[in-house]
Parts: sequence; structure tokens; C-alpha cells
Amino acid sequence: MNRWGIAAVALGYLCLLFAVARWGDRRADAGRSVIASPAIYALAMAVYCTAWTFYGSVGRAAAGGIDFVAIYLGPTLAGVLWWHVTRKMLRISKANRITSIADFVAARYGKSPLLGGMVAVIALFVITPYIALQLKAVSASVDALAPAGTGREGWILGDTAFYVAALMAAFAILYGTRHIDAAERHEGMVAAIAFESIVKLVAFLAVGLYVAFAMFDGPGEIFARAAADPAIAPLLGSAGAGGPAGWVTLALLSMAAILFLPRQFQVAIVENVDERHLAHASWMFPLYLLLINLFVLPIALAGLLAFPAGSVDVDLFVLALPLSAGATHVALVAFVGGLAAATGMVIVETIALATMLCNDLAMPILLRSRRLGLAARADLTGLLAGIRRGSIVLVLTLGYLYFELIGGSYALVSIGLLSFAAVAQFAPTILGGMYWRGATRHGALGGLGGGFAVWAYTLLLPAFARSGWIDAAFISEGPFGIAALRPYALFGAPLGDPLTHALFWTMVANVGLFVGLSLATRPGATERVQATRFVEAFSHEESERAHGWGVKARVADLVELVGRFVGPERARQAFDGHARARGIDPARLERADAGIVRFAERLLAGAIGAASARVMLATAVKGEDVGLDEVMAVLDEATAVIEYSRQLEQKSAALEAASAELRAANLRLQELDRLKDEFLTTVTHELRTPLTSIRSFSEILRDNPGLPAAERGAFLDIVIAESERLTRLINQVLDLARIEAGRYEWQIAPTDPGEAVSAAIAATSGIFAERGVALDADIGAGLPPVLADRDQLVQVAVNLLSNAVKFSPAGTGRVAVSLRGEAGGIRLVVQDNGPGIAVEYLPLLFDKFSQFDDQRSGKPAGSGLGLAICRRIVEHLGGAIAAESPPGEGARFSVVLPYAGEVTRTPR
Amino acid sequence: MRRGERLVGLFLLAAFLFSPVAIGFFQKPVLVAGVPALLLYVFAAWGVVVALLALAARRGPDEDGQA
Repeated sequence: MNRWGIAAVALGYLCLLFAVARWGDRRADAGRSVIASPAIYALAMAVYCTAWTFYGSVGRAAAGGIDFVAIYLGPTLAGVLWWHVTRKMLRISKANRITSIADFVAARYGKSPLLGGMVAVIALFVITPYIALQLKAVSASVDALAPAGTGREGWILGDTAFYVAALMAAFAILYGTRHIDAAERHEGMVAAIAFESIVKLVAFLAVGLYVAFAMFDGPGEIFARAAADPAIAPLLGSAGAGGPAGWVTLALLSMAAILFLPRQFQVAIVENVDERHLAHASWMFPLYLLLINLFVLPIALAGLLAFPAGSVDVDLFVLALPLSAGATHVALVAFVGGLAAATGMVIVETIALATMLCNDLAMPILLRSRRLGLAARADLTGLLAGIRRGSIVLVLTLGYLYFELIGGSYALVSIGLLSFAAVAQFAPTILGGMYWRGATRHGALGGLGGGFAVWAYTLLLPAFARSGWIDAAFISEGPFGIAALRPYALFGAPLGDPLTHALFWTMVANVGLFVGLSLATRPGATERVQATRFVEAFSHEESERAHGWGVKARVADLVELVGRFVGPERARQAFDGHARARGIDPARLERADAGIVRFAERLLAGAIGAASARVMLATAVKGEDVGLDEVMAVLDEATAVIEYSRQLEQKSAALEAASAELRAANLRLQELDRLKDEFLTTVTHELRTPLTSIRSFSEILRDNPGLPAAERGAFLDIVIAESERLTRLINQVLDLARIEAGRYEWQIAPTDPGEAVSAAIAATSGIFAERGVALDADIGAGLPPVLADRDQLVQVAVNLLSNAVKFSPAGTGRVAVSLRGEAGGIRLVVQDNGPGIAVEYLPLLFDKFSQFDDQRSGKPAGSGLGLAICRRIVEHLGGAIAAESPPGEGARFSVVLPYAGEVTRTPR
Repeated sequence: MRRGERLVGLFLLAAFLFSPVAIGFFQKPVLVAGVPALLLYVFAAWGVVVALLALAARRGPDEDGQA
């Protein structure tokens, strides 16, 4: 067959594909979606069937009988679980605007860019060879139709894989990045994928029918002849070389693949139009798988019957059988079917990977490293689209290079199941994250990392060894000859086929680390919030609506921010739509509530991924972290209230103390008031006594003019004496009041105490003489000076002396005065030989008016202020005054005054 | 709600039908009505599961509430 003809057919088919995609996009723009039906949804999911299915299933059946079916029974089983698992993933993804499997993982574990990037890198690493496999299949099918030998010289179309890759890149860029809001589905792409699924199913059925009914007389004949051939007959009852464990492994891996392969996530979750489609797709998709596998075994058996063993590649029976019968048109149909299977996979996988690379690898890095630069740019749609397109080209270039460099190796051929096993590593992290609130970021990182590392060791490195890139002894004897580490028999585990062995150990590492680290670490605050949103996806929507933490963000700001990524017009429309859906007039929407911020975050997440969206919103909008920060603020507030109440408590305690003090002060004041009253009473009493006396004697003198002169003189003497007493009393009261009020002007200076006491003795000598009291003075000579007011010091001595003379018996009285120097100062002692003072009165002696009339009959001899004044003066001068009265010895008063200054001379 | 439970039941049934043990009963190279017994069994079981799934989906919409 002519290569030009094949090229024309292929090109024609691909043109048709572009047309379908364009039609799908047009209809979507016109609002009449063609993909809004469960059948299209199910057909899009059939992107699961790649060229590996189309050609490889027959090859696998030719080698292992019916075991290929396990790869499709797994998805069927998963289909039963869609209602539970996929619907939940769908709910979560719609609620969080999740655009890829990496996004899903990142969003669940606290919007962790590290985790998202890790998933993206693993996916890129694992899926790129898978894409290369598709290119290889197309290339091999072209070679099978038109053997390369027919026109090798300078053959432009020789490198089929390159042209396919280039066209696929063009398609993916045209229909995969038309809109930047990835959550707005690629309707044209989905329409094209559904179309491809129809083509490959029809093509395969056509080949099957042709082989069974045109080349043979119905399947019955094929089976009968196979049963008769001893070399082929065992295949009829074989379920593969892997045995029961291998069967289960295949089923489990394919279950994981249908759920977590990036392309499956793209069509099942991202491109989903309506959640209700899931229910019908969950039986239509298994039906599709059943139909496309119906003729696999018959074709395989027919190929084995038709061709001598080993003469034709079992993987190309689908093409070789019609060709051998001369049915070129049927072979061409088969070729187109294989092309459809390959291109469908390449397109979706590339778009899914590009989204992942852009949103979970490139954007977080760009936003971090050039945050200022990005924030300053008004329109990022161009940049985003550029990154997406660049990623698409990158993925396909990598795929093509893989194919070119290691095209024929075992590593590439086995990559189908190898990548399934790698994708299965996502299962614990994702399923655990959806159903177990306690799963943490560290657990996810550990599980994914550990699982992937074990996967690389038990599957990837051995594949390299089989391809001859590393020493084959690595498999048979283990690294460095350590048998326990043989990659196909770790620790000598008796797990037959490598895939089962790898699945077991990867899951041990993955689940072990995931659960162990999750239990050992505590999730962060964002992580806990996200965990709840994921685990309670079905019940969360209502509660989300109900709680409304306030945010300090303006809707206009959010619209502008989102507009930079998805275009201003789209952003405006999206926000208006959101407002209307919530029954709010868009025009009246000014302050963003939590719902709107979350909506903005979801919109952004659709364009740049959850982790990046979070960074962007956090930098752009103050107080974006709605729930959390507000909760923290509330907590802070509560703490502040507690602190405040504690302060209040302290204050009230202080207040209590103060009020107690006040109460005490009040009591003291009352006491003072009472004392003042008493003082006044006493003073007036003291004043009245001499006044009464003066008045009565004055009256006697007035009323009796004939009194004898002697008597008159005596009376007048009394009047004069009483007047003097009155004057003295008033002077003393005034002195005391002045001293007590602090108004007395002290003339403090170094004073000679001896001189002062001598002056006092001289001043009182009259009284002594009058009363006939003897005075013994013993004044030390050369005493050092004391700091004092001389007049006051004299006053003290006078008071003490006159006091002593008053209480000394007239005639026989003796008063002794002594003034001596002592260690701390001078000591003045005045001793009389009067009746003494009762012990109980000693403490009260120096109080005001403490006269003890009862001690002696008759009127008081003094004002009662003398001693009080003495004490005030002595205390003011820094000295001390004391009184003692040993029984029978009279009273003894002593005054001690400190020396002036530090220079103290030794007393005599 | 009933639908979710029915689907869990169906999953258990399918898991048994597709289990290596159930398939093991038919792992003999014999033809039944001109078709290998194993092939016949696998596709029959598969068809039954798909049919039951379709039934569950068809009944669904009426009681399509929350899970």
C-alpha cells in the first residue's frame, strides 16, 4: 500500500477530528452543547482504551488467553463504585474548581504547592513514556500497512511519529487552551474524543466481524479450530500466566487507573457537565469496554491460526489479518481505529499534563519567585495560555524523544502496566484524603514518595535492566549481589509475577508511610479546613452557605484580580452569575462575603490551580483567609476578654484595698475630729478656770470698796497671777498649734546645750525660790554643740524644770538637773522628789492636757501642754524624751539630743 | 440512599463474579455451544453486571437524592 495514501487517510481523519472539535466548540458558544448527555460522557471516558488496547489486547490474548479482560473488569468494578467515589470526587472538584489530579491532592492537603508539584512531576515522569507508546503504535501501524522498505529513500513521511506528535500538539493547543478558565470545559475536545471513541469501537468491531465472518465461518469455526490445535487450545481456558494473584493485581491496577489516570480525571471530573450523567455513564462505559473486547480473543486465535508462530507481531494481528486476506480497506479502517485510539489518548493526556504542569508546577514557582512582577501585570491570560501551550509542546516533545531514543526497548513496551502501577500510588493519598479526616500532608508526602520510590525500584529499574541499560544481574542477583534486595523478589517474598510483587511492596511502603505519618503528625489549620471540605463533600455545601464570616475585601477588587487571569469580561460575568444564583442583585454587591471570596478562589483555582490561587488571593486581598483568620481573630478576642477580666479583677482588688485605706483614713479623721473637739473642750475649760478666778476676784474688789489694803493687794496679786497663767496658756496653745501645723519657723543651728540649760535654770530660778525648792544643777563643761533652735531648747528645759518644781513638795522639794555627754548625744535629766507618776499614766504623759488632777487635790498646776510641747520639740530635733517614776523616788524626765554633725568629741 | 446501598451490594456481587476463584471454575479449554466456557462465563458475568448497573441507573433519577 502506498504511504502517500496512508498519509492522506490519516490526514483526512485528523482534519475530520479538527472539524468535530470546532463544531463542538461552536455549539458550546451558541449555548447548544453537544456533549451534555451521558452517552457522550461515557464515550469520552472511553479514552481509557488507547492504542495499547486496540493493538495490545489482541497481543496479550495471543499470549495469555483471557487475562487481558482483567484490565477492563477493573474499570467495570470501579464503575459500580462511581456512585460513591467518583461522584464524591466530582462534588469536591466542582466545589473547589479542581482542574487536575495534582490539584486535587494539593487542595486536600492544605493547598500544598509541594504536594501538587510532586504529583505533577510523578505524572509527567510516568505518563510521558505512555504517550511515546502511542506514537510508537501509530508509527508501527504505518510500517505494517506500508513496509518501510517500499520507499525509504529520502522519505518525507518516514517519521510518522513526528507528524502525529506535531498535529496532536496543534490540536491540543487549539482545543485545549482556548479558554483559560480550565473549569470551563473544552467542549470541542470532548466532542472529538467521543467521536474518536466511536471510531475505534466501530473499527475494531468491523475488523472483528470481517475476521470472524469473512475470513472464517463465524467465531464458532475459529474456536473449534483453535480447540483442535494443541498449541493453541490451552489459551481457551487460560486466564494468564500470573495466576489468581496476577489476575487480582491487574483488576486492582486498572481500577486505580480508571480513577486516577490524569486523562481519566480530565474527562470524568473536569469535563463533566452534569453530575447526573455519572449514573448512566457508569453502565454505558462498561458496556463500551465489553463491546470493544468482544472480538479480541477471536482475532487473537485467528491470527495464531492464520500465521505461522512468530512470523507476524502478535500486537499487529488487527492489521495483518485483513491485509493477508487482501482486504486493504478493512486494514485501513483498522488503522484509522488505532490512530483514533492513539490520538485520543495523546490529546487528553497532554492537555491534562499541561494543566498540571502549568497550575501545579509553573505557576506556584512563578508566583513565588516573581510575585511582584506578576502582581503588577494587568493581564495574565496571555502568560497563562503561553505556559499551557508551552507545556503541551514540552510534553509531546518529551514523548516524541522517548519514542525516538528508546522506541524499541522493553521499558517502553511495558510502560502501559508500569504507569498503571505508578498511578495506583495516588490511590491511598486520594482515597484516604476523601474519607479520612486525619490524613495529613506529611502522610501524603511520605506515602507518595515512598510508594513511588519502591515503584521505581521494583518496576522501573528492572525495566531498564531488561532494556540493557543497566546490568541484567541487577534483577537476577540483586544490587551489589545482595539477594535480599532483588527487585523482583524483595526479601525473597514469594510473589510470583513482578507486577503483583511490586503492587504489594509499593502499597506496603505507601499505605504504611501514609497512615503512619498521618498518625504521627498534626494537620495544620488550613489542612483541617480542607479535610473537612473533602470528607464532608456531600453535606458541606449547605453549611458553607450558612456561616458567613465577614471579609474586608471589595467585590470589585476580586473581579479585577480574577479578570487578570481569565479576562475581565469573563470575570464580570462569572461574578454576576454567582450573585444572581444566590439571589443578590449584582449591582448591589459591594463587600465580599466569605462565599464570594471562596468563589473567587475557585475561579482562580480553575485557571492557575488551588495552591497558586491561594497564594494569589492571599497577596492580593487582605484578610482573604476567611474562615481561619476570622476564627483566629475571634480566639484572640476571647483571649483579650479573659485578660481584660483578669485586669478588672486586679483593679477591683486594688479598689478594695484603696477603699479599706480610705475607711481607715476616715476612722482616723473621725478620731482626729473627736480629739480636736476634746482639745477645744479642754482648752476652753482651761481658759475658763483662770478667767472665772479673775472675774470673781475683780467682782469682790468692785463690790467691796472698803476692803483692807492688804487683802486688796492679795486679791490683785491673784488676778495678775491668773492673767499671767492665762497668757502663758494661750502662748503655749499657739506654740503647740504652730509646731503641729509645721508653721513654726525653726532657727536650727549648732547650739551649746550647757548655755541653753543654764539660761533655763536662770529663768526658772524665781519659781524655785518662790516655792522653796532646792535645785542641784550639774552641767557638764565643754559639751559639744547640738543642732537645735536655742529658744526651743531653752523652752524644753524650762518646761521640764517648771514641771518638776510644780510637783515637788513646797519647802522640802529638791530638783536635780544634770546635763552630760553620752555616746549618741547629750542627755538632760530632771529629777524631782515629788509623789511620782502612776505607772498607768506614763504612756499618756506627753499627750495634750494629760493632767492628773486626781493625783493631788486642788486645781491643776499647769496647762497640761508643757510636756506635749516638749515632746514635739525634741522629736523635731531628732531626739527622744522619756519619763520614769520608780516608786518613792519621784519622777525623772530625760531628754537625749544627738550631737551636731558627724564630728563628735568624746564626752567628758 | 437505597441506590447507594444497592450499588454496594452490586459491587460485592461483581467482585465475586470477577474473582479468580469464580473464574477458576471455568478455566478449562472446553467449548460450550461452540464458545470457550471461560470466555462465555466472563462475558456473561460482565453483561449481567452491566445490566444491573443500567437497572440501578434507570431507577435512579426518581430517588436521586443525596448519598
